[in-house]
Amino acid sequence: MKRYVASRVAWLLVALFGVSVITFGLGVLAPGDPAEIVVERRLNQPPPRDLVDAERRNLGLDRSLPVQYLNWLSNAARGDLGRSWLKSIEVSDALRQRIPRTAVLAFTAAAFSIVIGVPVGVLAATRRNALADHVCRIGALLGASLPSYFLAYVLIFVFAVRLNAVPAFGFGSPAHLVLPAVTLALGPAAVLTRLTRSAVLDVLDEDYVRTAKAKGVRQRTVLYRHVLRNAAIPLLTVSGLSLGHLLGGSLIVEWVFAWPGMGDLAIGAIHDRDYPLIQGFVLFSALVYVVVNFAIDLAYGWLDARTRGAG
Amino acid sequence: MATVEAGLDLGHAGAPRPLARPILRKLASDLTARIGLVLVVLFLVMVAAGPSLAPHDPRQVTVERLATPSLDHPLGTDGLGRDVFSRLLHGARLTLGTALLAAALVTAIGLVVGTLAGYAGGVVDALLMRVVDMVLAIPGLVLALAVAGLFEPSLVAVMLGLVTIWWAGYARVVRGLVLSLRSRPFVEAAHAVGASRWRILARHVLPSAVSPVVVLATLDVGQLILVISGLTFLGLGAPPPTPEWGAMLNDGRVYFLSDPQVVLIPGLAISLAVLGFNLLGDGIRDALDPRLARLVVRPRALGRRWPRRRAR
Amino acid sequence: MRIRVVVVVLLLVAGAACGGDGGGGSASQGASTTAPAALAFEQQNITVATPGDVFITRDRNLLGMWPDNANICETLVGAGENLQPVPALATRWTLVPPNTFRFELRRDVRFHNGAAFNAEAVQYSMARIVDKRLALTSFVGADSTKVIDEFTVEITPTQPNLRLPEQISHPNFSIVAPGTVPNDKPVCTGPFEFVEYAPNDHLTARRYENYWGEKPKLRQLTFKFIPDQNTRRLALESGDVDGVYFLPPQQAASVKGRPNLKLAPTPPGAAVVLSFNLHTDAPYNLMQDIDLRRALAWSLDPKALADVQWQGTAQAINTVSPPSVLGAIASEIPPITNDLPKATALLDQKGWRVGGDGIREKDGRKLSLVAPAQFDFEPESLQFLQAQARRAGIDLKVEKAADGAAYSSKINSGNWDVDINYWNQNDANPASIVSRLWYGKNTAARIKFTNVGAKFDALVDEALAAPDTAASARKSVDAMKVLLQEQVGAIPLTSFPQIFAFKTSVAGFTAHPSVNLQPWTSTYRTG
Repeated sequence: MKRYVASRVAWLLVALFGVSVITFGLGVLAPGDPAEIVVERRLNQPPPRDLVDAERRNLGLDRSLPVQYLNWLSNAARGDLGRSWLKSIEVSDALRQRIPRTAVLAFTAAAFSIVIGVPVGVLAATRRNALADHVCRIGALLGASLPSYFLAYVLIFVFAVRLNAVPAFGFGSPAHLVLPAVTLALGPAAVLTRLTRSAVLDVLDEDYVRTAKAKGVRQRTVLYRHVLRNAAIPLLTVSGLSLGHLLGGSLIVEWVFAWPGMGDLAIGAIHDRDYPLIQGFVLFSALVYVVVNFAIDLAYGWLDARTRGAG
Repeated sequence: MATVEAGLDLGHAGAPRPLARPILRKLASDLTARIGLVLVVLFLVMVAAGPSLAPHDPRQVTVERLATPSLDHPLGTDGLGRDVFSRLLHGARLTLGTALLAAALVTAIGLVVGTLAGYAGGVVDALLMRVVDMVLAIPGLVLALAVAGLFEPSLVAVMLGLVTIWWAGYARVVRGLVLSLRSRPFVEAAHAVGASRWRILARHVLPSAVSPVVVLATLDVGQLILVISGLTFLGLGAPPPTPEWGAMLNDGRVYFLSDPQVVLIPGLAISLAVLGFNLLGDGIRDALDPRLARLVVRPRALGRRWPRRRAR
Repeated sequence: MRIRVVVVVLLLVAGAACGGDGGGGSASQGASTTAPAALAFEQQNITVATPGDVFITRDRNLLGMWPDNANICETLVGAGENLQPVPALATRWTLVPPNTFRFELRRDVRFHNGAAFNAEAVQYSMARIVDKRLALTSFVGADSTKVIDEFTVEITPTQPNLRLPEQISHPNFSIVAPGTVPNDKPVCTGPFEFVEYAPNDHLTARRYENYWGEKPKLRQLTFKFIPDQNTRRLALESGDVDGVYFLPPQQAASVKGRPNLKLAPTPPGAAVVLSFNLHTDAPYNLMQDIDLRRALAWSLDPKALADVQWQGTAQAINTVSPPSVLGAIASEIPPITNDLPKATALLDQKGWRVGGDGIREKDGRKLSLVAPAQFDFEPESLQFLQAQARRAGIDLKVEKAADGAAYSSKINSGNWDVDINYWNQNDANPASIVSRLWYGKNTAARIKFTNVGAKFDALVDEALAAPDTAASARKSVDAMKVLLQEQVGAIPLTSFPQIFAFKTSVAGFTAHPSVNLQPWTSTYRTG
């Protein structure tokens, strides 16, 4: 176990280093001269050379790349991610304002994906090869095949425009959360359905289950007690992947639904070519992803040790 | 790399048997896999011959805006009076073609990097795998978006963004394959006979590694199409009037409330293409090893580990 | 059992989706025959969606003033329903020859912070305007404004300019309270006072109880920033906002089809005009050839653009200013567009051969023009223009800017061939657009690339110095003849309306010919 933890910590350090280098590299590769862009947007005129040079010194762009990297890193560690080129706002402030909204959306979507995915998977498994199974599996397949933006518009059309049941877009009440969270949830839900189905099928195949059923123990009890144990490890892995999907998928979903979270900010920054914001967003998402996966790895190792010991 | 090994269906002296047979057998029996195959073939035909089958010039602006389907315009026209059917046919090459090209590229890059890492071992291996770790540490769409955003909007930019994130998972898989193949009897035999490392690599190791990776790439095409059309939907692809499917969907949004078909038709095209590749991919995956296949998760998505089966 | 539930639900959903018509919006479908009464004052709040936060990049000099005017600030002179100059903060103005205007200021006006409005305030504001380079082509300089007495000022532009009273109605010339800076909180004299501004989200203003003029019926006005035009439209559909600004023409039909929504278009007042880069080296020097400019002009058909793309709501124009501001003499200028056969003939004659992809080439160079477009330019119209140019074998490589700052930056860099933008006629000054876009004495960076020479400049000088509007129109039209027929320095295409859309429960709204000067004082809600 100790060795395992040590290897995971080593991975964490490598990943953090990689994230910082890649994010910094994005800024370096970005087209345009940051100093010129900043001064020009401040003056709304083509900037004179001396001001640009002064700004370049101000931004530390006259130093060598490794020094720039270290400066950037030390600033980032203190929470200073620079200033948006376009929006006269600190990147960290912009992120701070929007992160809670994305978090709300992501957690709700995660909850929905479980609420949708698991029961459907169970249904499919318990009615294996019957019509219900096929319908559920097709549903899962559709959930994984339909592009989120297409699905979003279909849902908007049906539920917001025709039925007027929920608001089509925006932010402000729990009702506003429904459509974006459902759209975001369907991809992970499809994966969960599949996973749950196979986990349940595995359990149903086991001898002691058949014995128990023959004895008359309710299928449901057996299911829940053993499925959980069987499915815990793959579920954990999938949640790590789902986080990646949620972070990425939230970009499109937030944009389509005008949900003012981090993803919406990032898309705006991409369209505006506002690189400090893009960098900040990439850094933050990657950090969350790395840290959560690290935690999942540790949990995985702990679970694995337990099941190995117990099994 | 238990899962993929099992899929290799090891035969004599541990040399992998070809995968074609179990796949074809599966396709013959499973309905959903056959549906997938039909769809895939249909779309491949569209990619190959689409432009020549199109009845109209996809850029031809006419006065018949938002026309309902007719003989002349089987899927109607869009906001600028352009024939939607022709645009779909031309766009197949762009959307699907880019996805296939990207799949080929990541396979190639993954093969090169993975083989190098697996075969050379040591420092080279450690270094390359750390790079792979670093790339996989960032959520895919986020990094693809950032990379594509570095360039002027174009399909090349989108593909660059995609390839940047996708190659790493493949490199890892290939490395695992190569590591397991390295110690196989047939490789040792070749070594004993005096074949050079390069020869062994080129003649024995690489060919055996190719087919599983190609299979994995096929499983991924659906995902690739989704990511590509997602990025073009956000405006990072070629600018209008390019008839790329994701861009068509984006362009159609302004008519969503009055003429939703302009949004729904490209969306359906994308969905069907992805569905087809997913169905086919599922069939192939099931054919390799039905029980293990359920737990196989895609290499790009997976990153660092395969879900292990509990020892019984 | 469960599957049956699922099937029933799916059928219900499918039924709702396929059946029914115009389901969105409020429940009240029937039109009432009597004029509905206004709501109670507490409920008189409206929210209007605008195309994005325009204040966020301009150092906030014009927060709440321009281009989205929340009626917080006022100018000395206003522009009425026909853009004619009307008294605002100045009750009278007279010309003191040769080049000075004396403004008599309105008395008993208070700023939102209680300070008195007087000549000092005007001088303070004008100094700020000059300092922030907001004076445009009014040629108001640092020493131009003189305080004569507490309620009289004199403004003398630095060069002959008798159009000052018209020009000064532009929100750039807003009068702010002395000692205040509008960047975070504009303190002015308007019927609405500033409440709050959340960048990228909204700007809110509320009724100012001590306003000198007719008080608004609304209690609160909020501009909500929604950059995506489709989301804006959906917001109106779902009732999240009460009105939208800049409705794309393609969505006008869907608004007309909703019983609870209505359109409120301005008269055609914005002009789509293409300009050229005439003063750069390769590779952006293609447009220095006047024949190529002529050919491009001939390949474009403004009438088709107006009739098809704008579905008849726009009109083709031959002048760079909307004809309404020029008067009858506008018809003196013939069209320079829409003659495709001449375009192809001219290009053939000059040796530009059509290549395999349909684009002409000569000596290995493609007839490919980099064409930046303003960020809020109607996107399908751009494709329409591209398709038209393509008929003549010209490749118009449109680059739609991400936002206003990116657009300006691109134009200021000089790395372009054709500029695609639309220009609002905000006042009654006939020389407004000519002096803005090609006039050599305008210090804006774009002039470096677009100016068309001394003959044109001299005529614009005269238009600005002309004693009255008619004389100014005369000189402006003469300048346009040089610009368009002699130099082909620009291509006018269409004049189009800005389309507002509202819930039918919003009453008393009249679209002003200039969106930048839209008043909200008579608007109110009935439901």
